[in-house]
Amino acid sequence: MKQNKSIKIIISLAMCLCVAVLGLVAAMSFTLWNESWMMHSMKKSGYFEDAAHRTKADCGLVIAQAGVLGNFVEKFISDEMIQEDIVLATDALFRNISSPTSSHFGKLAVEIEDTIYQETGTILGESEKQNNIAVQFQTEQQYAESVRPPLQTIVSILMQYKKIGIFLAIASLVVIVGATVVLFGLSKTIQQWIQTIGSTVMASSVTMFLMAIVSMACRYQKWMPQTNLEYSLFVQWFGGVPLGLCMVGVILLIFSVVIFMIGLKPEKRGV
Amino acid sequence: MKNRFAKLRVLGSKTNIITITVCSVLSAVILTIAVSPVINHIKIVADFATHTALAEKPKVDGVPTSGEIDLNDSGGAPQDGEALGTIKIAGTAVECTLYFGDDAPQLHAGAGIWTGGNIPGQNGTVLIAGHTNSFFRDLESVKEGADILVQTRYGEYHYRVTGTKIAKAEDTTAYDLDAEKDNLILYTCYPFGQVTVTNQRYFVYTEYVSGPQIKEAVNETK
Repeated sequence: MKQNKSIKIIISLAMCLCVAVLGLVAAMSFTLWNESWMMHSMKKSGYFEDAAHRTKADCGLVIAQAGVLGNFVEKFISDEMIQEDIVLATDALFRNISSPTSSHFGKLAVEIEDTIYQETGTILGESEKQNNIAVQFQTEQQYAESVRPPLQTIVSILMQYKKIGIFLAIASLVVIVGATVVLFGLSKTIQQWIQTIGSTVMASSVTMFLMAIVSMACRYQKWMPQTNLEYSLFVQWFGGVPLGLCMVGVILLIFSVVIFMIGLKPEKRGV
Repeated sequence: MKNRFAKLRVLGSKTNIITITVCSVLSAVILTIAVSPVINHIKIVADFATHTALAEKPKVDGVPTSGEIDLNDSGGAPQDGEALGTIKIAGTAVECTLYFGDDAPQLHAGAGIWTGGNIPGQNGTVLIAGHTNSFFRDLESVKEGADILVQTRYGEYHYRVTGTKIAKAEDTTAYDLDAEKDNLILYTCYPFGQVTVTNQRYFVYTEYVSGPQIKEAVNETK
């Protein structure tokens, strides 16, 4: 009898752990592994506006440091263009495909030559033309660097774990089904069996809430320097973890109460 | 109804509470240990993340507007390339960050003070440059008598425009660097909006109106 009880607890623990793993994978699938969550976080944290400002400033600085005066950047790129390129690059990152290349400064060298000719009547020599082509190339490089997806390394790391997470979720489902069958064999009545499952699921929901507390307690807001342009985005994006865990916890809690209510119904006896 | 509530007490039975507590705590511990290498990895990457922000805007609120000040009380002498404050000319669109230094990175991001001269509050000429095709484009609209507000991290200054002049770039008589009164001279390439470097400059002359004076015992900025 006592042995049965111990086995029951061990199996309940295993089942609880597996349900929690499923819950964790579900929470991650809705947040950090989800491209829509990243897009939402970028909009909410104002990342697009910051990125547009930074991109224009960085590209303009490249042109200025090459000794070319004038605001050429605005003639070739706009805020909408920059946002679109960032979205495409982020999409490519989440799908694990190569990022599409965009070349907006293809006519920069020609534009510089034309402007100089308009203002001074001077036609540039060969070495000056080569210099302008070099400026064009460097500006394109700078632009490509500026519109790369945000938090690229962190997202890449997490996406690698996505495959492991899916495998664990499938394994957990198998264990849950097996544990349910074993618990049925160990229970005296169907009611008892249902109540055991209900309490196990409830334990999993408490685990989700505990994990949410742990994720808040790890103070992710202090992981990245605040001077980093991606700081606000990181805090907004990673903040989805405790939120997702809490939501999964609530769903499991409701599910467990429903199971309990089913388990409380008296068994029908034959007349 | 009473029956249902009585039955619900099964939920709070000793066995259930023990099961729920033990299972949830143990599961949380196991999961935390399992995910901690991933969390540590992300933490390290986040700490080393590049993409630093552009220079922070200088904090110019609540600074002295009169009297005598010691630069050491507000961060010491300006460093080359530092965003010292902001400059705004009334009646024009000229409003930008004011840097200590007039090299390409500073002029690309705002107006720049020549480091070989003075800074506001030092009882001398402050020479400020800006590109004609960006931040100083609207020097064209400057009128005599207009107020120029210079807010720095150590004090707030007001100057009044006294005149303008177009002169050749190499004409050293266009500006007096030995003046013993606090004044600003702003200049930019002329004609306005030019992309190419020109050999003419547009000068705006000003006189001091108000602002704190820097104590003489202070750091050298030259």
